Amino acid sequence: MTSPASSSEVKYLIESSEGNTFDVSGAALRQSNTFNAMFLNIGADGPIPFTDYNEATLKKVFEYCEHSVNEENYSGPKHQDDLSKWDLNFFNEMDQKMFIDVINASNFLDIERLTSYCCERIARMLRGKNTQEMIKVITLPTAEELEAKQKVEEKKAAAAKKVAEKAAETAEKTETLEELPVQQLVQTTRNKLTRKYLSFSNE
Amino acid sequence: MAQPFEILRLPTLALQNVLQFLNPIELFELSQCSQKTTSIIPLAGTKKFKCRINVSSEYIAINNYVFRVERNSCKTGSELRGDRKFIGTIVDVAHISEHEIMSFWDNIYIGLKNVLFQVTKVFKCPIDSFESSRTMSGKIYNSIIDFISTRQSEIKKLEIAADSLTDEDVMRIFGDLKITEDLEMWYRFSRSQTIPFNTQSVLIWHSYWITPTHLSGMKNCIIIDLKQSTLTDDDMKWFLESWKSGEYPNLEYLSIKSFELSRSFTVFGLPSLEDTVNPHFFKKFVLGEQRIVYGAIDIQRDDGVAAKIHFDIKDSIVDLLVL
Repeated sequence: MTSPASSSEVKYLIESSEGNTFDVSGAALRQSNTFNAMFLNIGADGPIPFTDYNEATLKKVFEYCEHSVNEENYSGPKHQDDLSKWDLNFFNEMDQKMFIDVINASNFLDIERLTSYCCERIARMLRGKNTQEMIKVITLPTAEELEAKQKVEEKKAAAAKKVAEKAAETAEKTETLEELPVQQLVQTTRNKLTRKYLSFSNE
Repeated sequence: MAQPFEILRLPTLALQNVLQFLNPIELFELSQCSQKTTSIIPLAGTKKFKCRINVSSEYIAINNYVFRVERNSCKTGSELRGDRKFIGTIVDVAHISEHEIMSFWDNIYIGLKNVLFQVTKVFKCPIDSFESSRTMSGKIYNSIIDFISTRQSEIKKLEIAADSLTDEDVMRIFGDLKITEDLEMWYRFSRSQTIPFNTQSVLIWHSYWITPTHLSGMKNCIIIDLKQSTLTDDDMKWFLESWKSGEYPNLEYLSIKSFELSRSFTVFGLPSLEDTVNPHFFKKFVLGEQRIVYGAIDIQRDDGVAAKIHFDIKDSIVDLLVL
C-alpha cells in the first residue's frame, strides 16, 4: 500500500535489488531526506525502488529508522559514549561488509543521524593512532594492486591516445574535403564512383 | 570489526564525514599512510585550517595543534612513534600529547621549512602567520617566502627577520605579498625605502630610516611601534597634530623611541608630557595585547576622543594610548 505520507500510520512498500518488497512506516521513511525530496509530496504508485541495495541492508537501515522515529530531531553528531544500549547493539552486530553497505545506503538515502553515527564509529578506529597503527586499521591497496591499476591506466591512456590520433586524422581529411569547392567535390565523388564502377565491370 | 577497514571504499560524503571527526595531527598521520590517503585529506575541510609558523619557538601550528621541530640530539628520552616523510626527508617523530607531535632534525630551520611545506601541501591551507628569527639563514627565509607567495597573495602576520637578508630581498617581499594585519621588521634597511604600511599593526625595531612621509602612510594603523627612530621634535609635533585633527582615526596605541627628541619635548602647548605629581598606570587591550602607559597626561582629539600621552625623558619614548 502506498500513498502520500500525511500520516505516520501510512506504510510504504520498498523494493530491494533482489526484487523483494517489504513495508516501512512513513515516519521511518521521512528520516530519509532523499525520500522526502522524491516522494513525500507526490506519493508513489507501487513499491519504491531502492534497487541498488539488497534487502538485508535496507531492512537494517529502516530498522534503525523505525527505532529512532520518536527521537528528537537530529542536531549534529553524538559521541559514541552517549549512544544507547540499543544503538550500540545495532552497530556491534554488523560485520564489516554489512557496515559498509549500511553506510552506502544511508548515505544515498541521506539519513543524517545514521550516516553520522556510522562515520563517527569509523573515525574512532583512527583517533589517537599514529601512521603505523592506522595502516593496521585500514586496508590500503597493495603494491601489486597499485601496479595493476597503473597498467590499466596506461592501457586506457594508450587507447585514448589512439582515439585522439584517429580523430585528428579524420578531422584533417574532413578539412581537406571542406576546402574543395562544391562543384569540384561533386566531380571528385563522381570520379571515385566511376572508377569503382569500372573496377567492378572489369571483374 | 577486527579486520582492516576499507576506508577508501566509502562514498565521498561518508568519507568526508569520517575525516571531519579527526584532528589535524590525526589527519597528518593518515596522510602518511599512502598517496591515496594524502589525496583525500582536504575532504575534511582542511583548506580552511589556519597555519602559523613560529621560528623562535620552533613550531608550526595548524589550528591549535602543534607540529614541533626539535634537534636530533634531544631525541634521547623521547618516546619515538616511527618515522615520517616531510618533502622527501624521513625523520623520527614523537607524540608529545594529543595536541602536539615532534619531529627530529639535524638542522632546526630545515626541519621547520620541510614540516611547513609538507603540512600545507597535505592540508592545502594558507599560511596566516610567519614569525621568523634573526638567526634563520636568509636563504631558508627567502625560500619560505617564495613558497608562501606562490600559494597566496596575502598573509596576515609577517616578521621580517633573518640572517644576511638584503634590501632587494625585503623589497621583493612587499612586491609579492600583501601583509594585512601585523608587520614586524627586524631587518635594517641600508637606506630609506618606500614600503606599504597597510597593516593594522606596525612594529619596526630599527626605524632610523622612517621619515614623516612614512608616518603619513600609516594612517589606517591601530598600533604604531617604532624603535630606534631618528624623528625630531618637529617631526613628532607634526605627527601628533595630524593625529589630533583626526588623520589617524584607527590609532589606539603609539610608541615612538627617538634619541633625536630633546629632553624638553612637548606638544599641544602643554608644559610637560609627564605626570610627576600623581602618576598612574593606564592599561588597555589593543589587538589582543595589553598596552600600558604610566604617568601620562590627558589629551583629546579634536573630535573629543580621549587619550593619554606620555614622554619618557630618560628613554626618549613618546607613548600615546587612545581610550
